[in-house]
Amino acid sequence: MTDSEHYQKLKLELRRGVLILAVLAELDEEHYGYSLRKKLLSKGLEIDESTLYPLVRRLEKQQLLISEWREEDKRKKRFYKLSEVGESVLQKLTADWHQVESVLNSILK
Amino acid sequence: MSMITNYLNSLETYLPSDLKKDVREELENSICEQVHEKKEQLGRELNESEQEELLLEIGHPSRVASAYLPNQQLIGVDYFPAYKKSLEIALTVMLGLNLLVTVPFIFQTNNIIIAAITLFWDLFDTAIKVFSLVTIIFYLMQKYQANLEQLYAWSPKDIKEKNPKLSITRLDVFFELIFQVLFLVWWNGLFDLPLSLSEDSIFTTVSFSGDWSMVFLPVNVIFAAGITISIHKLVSAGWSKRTLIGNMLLNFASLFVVYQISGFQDFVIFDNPLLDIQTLETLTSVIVQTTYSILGIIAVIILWDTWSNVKGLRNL
Repeated sequence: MTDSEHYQKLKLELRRGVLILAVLAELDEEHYGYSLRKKLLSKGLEIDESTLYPLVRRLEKQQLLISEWREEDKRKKRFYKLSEVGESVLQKLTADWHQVESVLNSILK
Repeated sequence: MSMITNYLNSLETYLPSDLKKDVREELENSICEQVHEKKEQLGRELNESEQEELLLEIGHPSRVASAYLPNQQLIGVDYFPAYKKSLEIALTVMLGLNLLVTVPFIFQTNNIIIAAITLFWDLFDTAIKVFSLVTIIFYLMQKYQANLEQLYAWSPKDIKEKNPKLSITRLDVFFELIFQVLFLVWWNGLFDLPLSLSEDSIFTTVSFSGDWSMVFLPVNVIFAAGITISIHKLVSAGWSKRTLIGNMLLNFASLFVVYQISGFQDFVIFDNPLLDIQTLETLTSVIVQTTYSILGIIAVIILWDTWSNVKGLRNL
């Protein structure tokens, strides 16, 4: 395996956990799949459809999100939003993230 | 849009029925929005290659569908250590039993090649069945979330002291075992000779001399004991003091047998009366030299193995 391949693999692993936090944080506002993807992209986080859509479904199954089908612009869309459980989990994860960030910053100095 | 419809139709085939409609609609909406956005940017309909590019970016239908499904591994990381250990034990036990059951039948056959193929096929067949069965059991345990705590129930007191220098891979021992069994099969069919030889227009038949019957039983005993030690090594994946000493004793017995063979008056008997004396002497000399060379190599291997055993005993 080349350096670049190692890097790509590790980068993916690093992103995997971060994505969940980003998706949860972004869904304090209601979004459907594509609008969520665009929103994340506009903030610099690129994520494939084949990763994002199954992820939001998984989070919904874990009761962290709630969803409903609605028609908008003559198209049926599935809108996702944080559930109460999701909001509480997001708060805890955000606190954890800040802690990890400060610890890592001191390690990476 | 037929390419996109075909893509979505294909995606549906990889999904379970309860997900088909939802996933298709969600992805269809997303693709339609992207098409619509690009159409507005370009001021025209998307051509075939642009649609193709968009779909390629999303990924192969089977991969996209698999992201929606749980359990993408036949045996997951939590269950894998227990699965591997169970597979090793099951294969060792079943292949050992298979060897014990098959070998007596193989002794009854006259053709060594057919016997070897039969043995190999029997072992291969058993290995495949054991592998399949253990995998299915663990797959079902994982599917129905069998209790992992019971599976990995342990105590530090249960872990036996083991010298890493004396551990051996089961694969090595397995091949050693196969060699020993095949040799025993060959050895017991050995006296079915005469064997035909042809060289430089000379055709003759040779039989092993009567001297060989002296070592017939000792060789069988040595190899049967060797197989027992190998099975023990296969189960424990390492040497123990007992197996090391046992193997050394067998090596000494083997050296004695090699010494006995080297003292034979004749190794083979030529059954063809048409051979002249000169040809007979030439052939005999070739056979004697070859036999001594083989015996020499065997003696060196035995001595080397014994030395390894001595080193193993020192490490205990």
